[in-house]
Amino acid sequence: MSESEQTVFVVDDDDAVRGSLRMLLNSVGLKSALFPSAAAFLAEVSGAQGGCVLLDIRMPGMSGLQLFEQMCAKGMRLPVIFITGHGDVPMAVRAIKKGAFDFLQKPFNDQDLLDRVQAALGEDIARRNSDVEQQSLRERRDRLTPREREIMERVVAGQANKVIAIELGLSERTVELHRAHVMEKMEVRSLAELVAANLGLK
Amino acid sequence: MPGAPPEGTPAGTTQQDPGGYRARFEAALNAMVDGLIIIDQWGRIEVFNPAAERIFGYRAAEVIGRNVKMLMPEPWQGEHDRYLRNYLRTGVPRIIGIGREAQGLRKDGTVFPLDIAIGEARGERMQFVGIVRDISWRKNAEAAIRAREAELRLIIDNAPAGIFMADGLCRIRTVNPEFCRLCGRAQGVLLGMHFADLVAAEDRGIVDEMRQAAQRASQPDTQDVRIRRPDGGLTPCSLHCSYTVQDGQPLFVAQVLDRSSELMMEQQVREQRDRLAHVGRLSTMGEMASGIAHEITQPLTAIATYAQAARRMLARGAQGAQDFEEALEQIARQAERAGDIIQRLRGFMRREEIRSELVDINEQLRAVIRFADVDLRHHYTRVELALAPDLPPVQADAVQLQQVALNFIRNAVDAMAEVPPGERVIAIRSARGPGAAIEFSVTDRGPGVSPGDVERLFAPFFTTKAHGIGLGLSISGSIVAAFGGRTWYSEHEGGGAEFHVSLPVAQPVEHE
Repeated sequence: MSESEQTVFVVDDDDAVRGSLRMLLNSVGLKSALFPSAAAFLAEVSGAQGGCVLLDIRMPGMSGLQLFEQMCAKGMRLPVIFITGHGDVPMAVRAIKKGAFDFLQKPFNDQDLLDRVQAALGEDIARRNSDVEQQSLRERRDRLTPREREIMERVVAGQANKVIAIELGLSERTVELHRAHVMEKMEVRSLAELVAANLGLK
Repeated sequence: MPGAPPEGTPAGTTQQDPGGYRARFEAALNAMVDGLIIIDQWGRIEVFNPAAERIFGYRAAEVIGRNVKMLMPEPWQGEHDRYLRNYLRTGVPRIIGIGREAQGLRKDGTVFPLDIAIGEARGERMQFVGIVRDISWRKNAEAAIRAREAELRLIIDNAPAGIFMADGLCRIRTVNPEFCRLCGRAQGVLLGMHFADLVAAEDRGIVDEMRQAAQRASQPDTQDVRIRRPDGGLTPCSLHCSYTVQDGQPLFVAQVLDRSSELMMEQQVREQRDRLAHVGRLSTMGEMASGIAHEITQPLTAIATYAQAARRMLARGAQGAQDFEEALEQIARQAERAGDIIQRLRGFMRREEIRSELVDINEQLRAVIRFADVDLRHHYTRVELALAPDLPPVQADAVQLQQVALNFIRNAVDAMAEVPPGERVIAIRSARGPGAAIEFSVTDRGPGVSPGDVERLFAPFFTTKAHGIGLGLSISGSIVAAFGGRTWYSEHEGGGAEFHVSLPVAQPVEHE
């Protein structure tokens, strides 16, 4: 996924604040989608879309904080930047502790806002990319036989072929053969790559 | 000529009575109401009729032949013989034929006033006839009248009210010291003046009306007038005028009460209440500060963001006048929005002369809701309005009335802190009340006021809030009372607190 496919979702009950954010984001070539309420956002946005959310913390009906909790519950992993008014900072801090990406206090500096939006979008891409990587690693690991998987775990844990052979009651030659299949199925060329792939699976 | 009197019975008393003359004379003597005493030239009593007996307390037999001076107190007792001798010698009367007031001495020793007339009979010998009337009762009555007059004078002169009496043309005839004081003029100057000339020019009509009303109804009436002092100052007074007819002449009796200090006190109370109300508004603002700051931040944020976006578009050399136009238009509109909020705040905080003006309650309630909107949204609270259309105006100060409503609304917001945000509703109603009154009420869905607290709700410094100072409702109560209305609390059916205000409908102004 690339930046051009990302959208900045703006959720704020104030028409003017929403409108001005659209124009600011547009001025640096960012795509935006505007929602006057939490409910409107939930109705249209799913976890599949890429981007980040600029979320007003205080809104009538469902508040920004409540929307964030719902997003977490639904597994929507879009990074959320809270926009807070006067006196809402403690609330924003609580949101950060619960996993929000960042918060900005109104009125904000445009560069600050854009920097954080960019950072959030970057995070979104990184997270989505790492999601893809994990998926393929998992698929590769699933191709291993139980015996190959057992041997991979011991290899990654640092056991020598000879030790593995004795402990599993196999010949050293057989262990070498399994190990070659593991490297092939996991699509790695070195022990270091195998170790890294296993770390990515955690 | 007199010398020592001859011994024996006075002459004539033993003579015959030809033609019944003496009998008739005796009958007349006995029937007389006045005392009749006849003496001879030496002062010896010859005749003493029954009335004289009653007056002096002597039987005739006790006094006949004795010197008449025994019936007089000193110094006349000691002088009478000499008076008599002088008269007989010189012939110059001092009392004879004149009659005058003198004093008598009764047998029991008491002295009493009497009228006496003396005549002289120059027959074969000299005799004097005295007719005596006891005037004690008349003297007593006169003394009682004088005493009562003195008492009345004392009361009038020391009365705390100015008092004057005037004739049918309102010319002053009598005044008391307090009236002189509040007019700033001496009694001698006031007597003869027309009362209308003593009051402020604009109040002369009132005096005329009162005079006519008093004459028509003879029912005393009270009016406010201002008395003009010689220094040009005005003394505010209440004038209480009654009318009577004395000896066929109309007479006005008026009391004039100086109201300066009373009015000054009223003014002080009013000023104090207004100051307190202002402090109350400031304090409310303090409580709402967070919400207000939030509300002003919104347009400021939009302004800053539109401006920054436009700058970036310019820097990028972006085309499209439409976007710039939108940004500029929004900037102007949002600046206006921020200005409006500040304007509303200033209007609410201002401390001008409190006016008693014709106020439309519905209009004020709507203004308050617009103003409180910040706070309401901040607390996720919804308002349900039920305003009766076409309500007549009330007499009040608009800002202070808004303060009362805002105080109720803020209390309602606070009362619903524990209510889930979606269920926070404030109902605001206006309606015609019983009699010529307008009512409005503010109802919340909070827990209501506990029965033990209801009585103290409107008392100063009573509060159930952790950070309240307990002046809001007390101030609201006094504001409403100042405009002739009242405030009260009731439990809302189905829970929640309900605060009410009732204000009298403004009286239509009479045009002359």
